[in-house]
Amino acid sequence: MTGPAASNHEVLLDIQELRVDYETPRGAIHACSGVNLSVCKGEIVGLVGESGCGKTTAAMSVLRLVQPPGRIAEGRIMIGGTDLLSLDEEDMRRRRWRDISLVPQGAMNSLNPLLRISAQIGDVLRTHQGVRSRAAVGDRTARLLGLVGLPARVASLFPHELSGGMKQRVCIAMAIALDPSLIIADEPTSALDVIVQRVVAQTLRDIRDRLGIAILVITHDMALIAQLADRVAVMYAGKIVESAGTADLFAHACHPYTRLLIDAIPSIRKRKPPASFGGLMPDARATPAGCVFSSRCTCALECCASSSPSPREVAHGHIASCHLCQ
Amino acid sequence: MSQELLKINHATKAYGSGLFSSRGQVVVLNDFNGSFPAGPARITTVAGESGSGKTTLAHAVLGFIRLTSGSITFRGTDIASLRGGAYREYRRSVQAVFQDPYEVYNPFYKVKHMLDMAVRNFRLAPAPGAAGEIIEKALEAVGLRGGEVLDHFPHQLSGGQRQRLMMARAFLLKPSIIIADEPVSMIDASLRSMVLDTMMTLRDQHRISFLYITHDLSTAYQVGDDLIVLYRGSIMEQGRTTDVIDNPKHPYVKDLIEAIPVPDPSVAWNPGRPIPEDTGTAGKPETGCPYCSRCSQRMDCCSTKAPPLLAIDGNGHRAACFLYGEMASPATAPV
Amino acid sequence: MATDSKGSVQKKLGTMRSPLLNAKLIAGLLFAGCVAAAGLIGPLFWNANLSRVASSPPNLPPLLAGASPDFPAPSVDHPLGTESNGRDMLALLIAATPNSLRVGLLAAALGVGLGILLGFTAGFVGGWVDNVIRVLSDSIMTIPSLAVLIVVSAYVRQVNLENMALILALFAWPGPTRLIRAQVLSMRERGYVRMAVLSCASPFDIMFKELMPNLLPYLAASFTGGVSGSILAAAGLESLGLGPTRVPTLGMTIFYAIRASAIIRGMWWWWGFPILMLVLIFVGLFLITIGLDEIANPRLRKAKTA
Repeated sequence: MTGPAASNHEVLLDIQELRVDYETPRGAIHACSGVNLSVCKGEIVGLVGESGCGKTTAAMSVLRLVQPPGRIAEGRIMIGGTDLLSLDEEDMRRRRWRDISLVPQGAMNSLNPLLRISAQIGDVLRTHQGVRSRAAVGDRTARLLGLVGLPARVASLFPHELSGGMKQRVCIAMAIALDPSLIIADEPTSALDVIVQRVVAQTLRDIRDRLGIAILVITHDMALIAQLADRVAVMYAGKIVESAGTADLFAHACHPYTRLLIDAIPSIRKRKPPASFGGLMPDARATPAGCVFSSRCTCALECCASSSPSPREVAHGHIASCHLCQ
Repeated sequence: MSQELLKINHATKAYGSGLFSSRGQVVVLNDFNGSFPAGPARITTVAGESGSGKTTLAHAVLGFIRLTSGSITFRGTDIASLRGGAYREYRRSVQAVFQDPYEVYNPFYKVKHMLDMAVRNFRLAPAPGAAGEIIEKALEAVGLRGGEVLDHFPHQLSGGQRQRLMMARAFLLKPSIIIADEPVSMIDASLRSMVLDTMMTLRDQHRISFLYITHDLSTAYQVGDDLIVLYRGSIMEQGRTTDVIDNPKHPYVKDLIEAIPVPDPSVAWNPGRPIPEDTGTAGKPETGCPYCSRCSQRMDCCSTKAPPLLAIDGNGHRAACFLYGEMASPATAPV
Repeated sequence: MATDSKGSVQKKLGTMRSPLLNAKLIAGLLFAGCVAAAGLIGPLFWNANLSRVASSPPNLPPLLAGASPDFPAPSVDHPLGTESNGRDMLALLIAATPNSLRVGLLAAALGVGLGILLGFTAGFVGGWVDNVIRVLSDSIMTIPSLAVLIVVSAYVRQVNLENMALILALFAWPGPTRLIRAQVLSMRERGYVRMAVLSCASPFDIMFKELMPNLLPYLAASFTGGVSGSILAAAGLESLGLGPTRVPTLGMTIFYAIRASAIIRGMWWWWGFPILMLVLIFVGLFLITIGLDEIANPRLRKAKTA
């Protein structure tokens, strides 16, 4: 969906028709089928979907970290006019972390328990930027920790001495160490308590505000994305079914899946009978002839099962793939 | 009989006590009191973040761990002393649904093994052929069909299906109470409501009470009748769910509710004041209120003496905070 | 909290290929199968009586050795040669291999059987029972088994296959005990064990219906490891002369060879072929063991597909 972004900034990342398959002896699993997504400079874009929809695969593809048997079958990932998928491994390795960095899922649990934080952040600085002197590394580390709201004394601590939220922010600090233009954050808050979640989300916001780094947040938490993201893309069964500015999406969601996801958020303000719908995500091996959501959709029309809807702009900056949203 | 069905008295669990001193002891559950009277079925929610002791409570009630002090009584008898028929009766009346809908199934067997085991061990089938019917009825109550799910291995079903199957198994035994330990946290959002709906159906139509343990206050608000909020093993506030969430009294509960993101982009997610980090049990105060180090309204007395649960109103709404009656005598009537 | 960990994509990947189709396991089974076949169906093709003393012309080299001035010419009737007592090597191998295997199997069965019993008890019951069993098994593991076995064998009057197996089982049980105990300790906390407790399952039911099926790969790996260890230990004892004298075994053949100075005399086929057979047995069992290990521990499997 390469429609005009809600903001008028230049496009930083443009994923076009991304197709990722996992090869199995029983046929290819289509993890992503035709994903179109763009992130503008300084924008926070949320990629939401439930487990198995392919959002992590899409994110990993941007960094070309898809492991076999996964394979990027088709598509282009444009950053600054270059297609990342056409680069050779050495070029890609240079761009990784420098232009785009990643805060992977469960990052806080993958901090080396035997090294102090200063050593781990220093490792990033030394490897990629060749920063040599201890004083320089120390200064940069303190600055990075300050940017994520952590006191400088954290540098001399070990990971087990920090709380979950602090560890996650250390991972964010490592991600911004080389001044990337884009950070991909995969489920940055899912294992954290509510109060800490807000702190980490606020940290991501601060980084965007102060450093102008764009962030692609991948999550299944709709409420979080409502508060954090500028634009939202909803993914289902390997396809983006709707994307719009956050306010627009929550106020005028038109794809049935988006509406049901929003209705399924339990409210703390009033009691209401929660929406629920049965069925499962379709078999990722099959390519259904019609809309991927048709088997679970309560508003399905006759044409939905036979013809797959193409993405269409329903409002300025609001794109949906649904026969009902025309 | 007016006997309490399940009563938890001053339940305390501590780990790592030295032989000669109690220094370095980690208290994961501190003086928890609660009860399920034999009356209309209710869903009681115990809410808390990680490390609050809620899972410890669930395991203690189910008899998986022994309490350091205090007791849990079932129909007046301490569960630690139940034997034989009385033990079996306890197991039948108090069932559980756990958080991980995959781990609770033995990967070696099809899912019906779990249901068959329950039917067999509790002798629920009066005749050999009746087991199938009983199982089918239980599945109906949770919205599943036997033909669709029974003959599958666990990995072939979705998280929502597995979790509802768990509930079917619990329902099969016609328990009085089901302990639901984070039943929806590992399930997709779109399937969550079905599981929560099932809980409410079981309460309304089959008179089964629930002890619903969760970290998510939003779902607690949707399904719970009563709410107890735990922090670091101690009860911070308790009362009717609507009272506690619409009108929170304890500073921790207020902070918690404020921190929940509102799914409406037009409502600002008030960053509020920065709350000091919870650095785990290191530096945990041995005396005083557990929330003292992070509380915006702490007073001098808070760090020296742990506040008892003080009554806010006559409806059972109580908060453990000196703001509501300094040093006043705690309400002694059980909830 | 984490999202549903069994999403549709991951589910499909898990059922890709049957994990039993493990290359190492199949190769190992082939090796072991050939060895076992040699012993079982060999007598159908070759006269087993030639393994008796004085049944053949002595000191014949094998066919591929060619003629040599020290020994009579090789003969087609004895393709693997003969030894000083007039036994045909091929017949000897055919007769001895099943005996050596039998010792190993029996010793492993006894050892692993005892190991399962003690391991389950220790892991499940816990408390002082666990402590006693653990201390016992750990102590016995540190004792140099060969030294003790030599002493014990020297005292036993009539050594036959069954006695040897019994003696070897003494040292075969600590390994399986520790393995089973460790697995039971970790499995005890699993969700499905908890559910079984909630369903009022008896400890017996939990051990054998819930835990045991999931332990089968470990048990199998433990068993094959035990078999190969026992066969080697038996061969070691026998080559020192402490084995059964009335039935042919691979180790005793080596012993007779050494005693008749076969090495100095250059009769390499006398001790060479039994050793080759032992190597085949060991490699086969080893491959089976690591193949089973890979089945039991999916993490080892994943390393290959990366």
